Amino acid sequence: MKYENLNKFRNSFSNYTELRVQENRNSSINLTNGDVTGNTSSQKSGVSARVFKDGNWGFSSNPEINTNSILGVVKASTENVQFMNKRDTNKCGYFLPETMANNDIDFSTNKNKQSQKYWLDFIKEIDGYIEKTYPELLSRNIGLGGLDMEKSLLTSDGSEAYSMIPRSIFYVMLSIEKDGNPVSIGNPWGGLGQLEDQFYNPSDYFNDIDQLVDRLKQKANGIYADAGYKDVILDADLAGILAHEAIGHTTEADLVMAGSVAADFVGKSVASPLVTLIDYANTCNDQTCPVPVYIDDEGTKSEDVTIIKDGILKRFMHNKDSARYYEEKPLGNARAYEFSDEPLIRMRNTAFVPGTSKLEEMIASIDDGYYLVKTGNGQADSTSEFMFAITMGYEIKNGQLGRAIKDTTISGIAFDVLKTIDMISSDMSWSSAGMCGKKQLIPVGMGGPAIKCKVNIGGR
Amino acid sequence: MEKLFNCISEKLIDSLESSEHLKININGEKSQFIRFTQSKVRQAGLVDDATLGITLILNGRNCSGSFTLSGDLQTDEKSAMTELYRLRNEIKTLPKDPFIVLPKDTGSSHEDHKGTLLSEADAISALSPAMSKVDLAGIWASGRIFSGNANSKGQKHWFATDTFSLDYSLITKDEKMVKATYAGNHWNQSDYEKYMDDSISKLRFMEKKSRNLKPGRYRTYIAPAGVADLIDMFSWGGVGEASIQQGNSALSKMRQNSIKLSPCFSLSEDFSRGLVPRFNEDGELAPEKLNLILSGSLTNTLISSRTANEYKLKSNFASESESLRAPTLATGNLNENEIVKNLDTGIYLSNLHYLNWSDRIGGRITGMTRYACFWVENGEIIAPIENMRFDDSIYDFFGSNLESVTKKSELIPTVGTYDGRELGGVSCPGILLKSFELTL
Repeated sequence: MKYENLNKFRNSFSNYTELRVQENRNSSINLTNGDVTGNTSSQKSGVSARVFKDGNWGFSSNPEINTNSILGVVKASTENVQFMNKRDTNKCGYFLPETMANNDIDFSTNKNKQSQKYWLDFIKEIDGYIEKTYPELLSRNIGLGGLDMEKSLLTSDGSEAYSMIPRSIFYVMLSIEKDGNPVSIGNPWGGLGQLEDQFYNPSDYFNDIDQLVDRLKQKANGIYADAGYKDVILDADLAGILAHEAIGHTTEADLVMAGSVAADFVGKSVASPLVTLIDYANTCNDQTCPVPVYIDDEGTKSEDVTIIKDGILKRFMHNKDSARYYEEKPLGNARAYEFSDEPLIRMRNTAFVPGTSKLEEMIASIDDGYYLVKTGNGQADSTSEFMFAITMGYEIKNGQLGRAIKDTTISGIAFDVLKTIDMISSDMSWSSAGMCGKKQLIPVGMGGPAIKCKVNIGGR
Repeated sequence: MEKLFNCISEKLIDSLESSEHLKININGEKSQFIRFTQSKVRQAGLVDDATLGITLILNGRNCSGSFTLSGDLQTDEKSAMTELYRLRNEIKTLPKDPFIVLPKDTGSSHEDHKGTLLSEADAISALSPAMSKVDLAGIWASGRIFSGNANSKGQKHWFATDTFSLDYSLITKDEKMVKATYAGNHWNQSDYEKYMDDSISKLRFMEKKSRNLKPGRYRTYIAPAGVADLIDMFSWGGVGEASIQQGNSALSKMRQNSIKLSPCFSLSEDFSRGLVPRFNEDGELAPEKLNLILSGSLTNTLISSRTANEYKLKSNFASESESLRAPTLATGNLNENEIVKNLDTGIYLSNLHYLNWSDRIGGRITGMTRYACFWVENGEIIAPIENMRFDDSIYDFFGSNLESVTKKSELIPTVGTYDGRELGGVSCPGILLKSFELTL
């Protein structure tokens, strides 16, 4: 639903104004033990305007999309800011950095759109394979879903943009019984693109599922990790969540202003010199990232943000307002999830830059530690203190991979952990199922190489 | 909006064929938001939003869709009919759902809780003076939230309420914080000013030099806001029957091994305050009060009709996710003015932060102490403490280590805004623990 000729509303702007028409379309199908337990689709659309004047913002949104409602939200948001300007005259003369960019990007599939039945049959075939091959499993949950985010944007600075960024995810969650308790493992597949561009043949996933079941059985027979401060290798999924949750959030300028531990770290050594951490805008190593952002929701051209370079904290992520405050250039981190959401400072695709080590060398360098592969969930806060659940991992003894471990947790202070990194693998992979929450949801890309570091690992 | 919902519902139901069934939901809000930073208004906004969800049922199959309502009847009726046609085409391709929940007519309800809210024009002048002498960051949300349900069996529900909340943190020069939420349905200026004054007085304590604690077990008092965060965890693999049946619940041990929590611990779903709708997505009315854990014993779980069909149980009309909607923790005998005296020497936790299960089957929860948390010595607050991670089991802090529960309960409002402003909150007292484990 591209809104054509949004430019005709430019004359209704009397101050700095962003006008956005947006539609989000979600669809999902779920199977539990072969039964269809979910089959939903939703569509949410509307228009919003945000106005800045003299240090204050006004915002308004409306689910109706027509000329009157668009003029209405511009008027209402302008009145909101005027109302506040009357009460707060201390910020007269505040101006946002001007940014102007134009871009049209559409990742809609060029293939014929398949029916819901087609996709249901697709996951039923996968479910059938699992049921037939692994009758010993306790439960099978399979889901397939897509999110299309389509935005048309106009700003008073002259930016005009259209984007249709779809994401499709397919996941499998399996469990097996061990000693009367369920043991589970799951895996997502997918990423940028509509279902037709992500998923071709059910049989493409059979090998991956075989590996997943193999890991599940290893885990069911696994041992408890020894609690303590250990050498570990965090594989790409975990390195990605560490980069995003524990470091990335602390360097979002709005959280910096709210007291993040990173506030005083710019220009200082915060990590091993091996560490470079980037929030990629849209492209990494000539490949399109899982969540590409070309122009953000304030009309700023999106560029990569190098947060840490060779162990030194270089800069924060900004929207226009925080860029004004810190006298930096905004690089396109202002993103909104729904039409009725204001843009917030959000990450795009955050990852450590690969190093030079091979995973085998990293494992060989550890006498007593763990290789941690998958995380179920995680959390961190503005102190960079974090706790991540580990749902798949292996012990390392005398440089060799050993037995699988049962579910456990790791925790630590991320900026302390970064200082202990002494090896980074040369490969790189993205996990594209990430959804970040910060009063609003937003799709994000996370990933990177494997990193070797020290963390606290939970035990029994 | 109720009238619009009724018109669309009637139009949809009238157009059904004899073998078709329909469930219709609406959720929406009309809210004012004001964001404060450094006690100054940063942004004001208005959100006017409603979503209509439709579930079509035919021959044991079901299919759902939703879309944003524009507020214009003609436009929305057209969108609703388009969605119904789409569902009709899709449903034919689907297999039967063995645990389908068919619409029923179990009676209709209508609740409209009119509040006394600040007008959009008055909000800033009412809120700002009380915070003018401190550094405050927060968000004001105020307005009407509504939810409705109708089905093809003739059942109809409507719930609307006027609510406000100011969710804020006060910050010292050293960036230590006190967090609080002032919320309700009827604005009272003097109550608000007193509430803010209480927060400001806590902030003064935070200006003292912080004490570093070593990891270990401490005598602990957790204030209602912190207890509410712990109770919220029961919605994630806790009191839901499906999670117990699947062996993924922290309460499985209570069911399987008859392990009990403390006799001081009683948790119920209690809708009598009228803060949230009693009806669920299927329009089923939950009992006004349902004891879940009574004096430490698991007496009931939340059972949705889908789970009831799957495991051949009786539904108590829980939500599809079997999460808590109106959680209420019973009060106890500890006088509020004797908390610090009874704590004697230990830690006083006003808030907890970012909780997660560290071992769900074992009932272990981890999280951070945060905001106004203090070291208490000989019945006297001595100093704020540095943030610490805790990791402890519900079987300890709600079990053998639960010494007493305060006499007074507080409603800790939900202030989430994902997919719209959330309703309700947790009603709970504070708890005094013999021991609580700080790990990092």
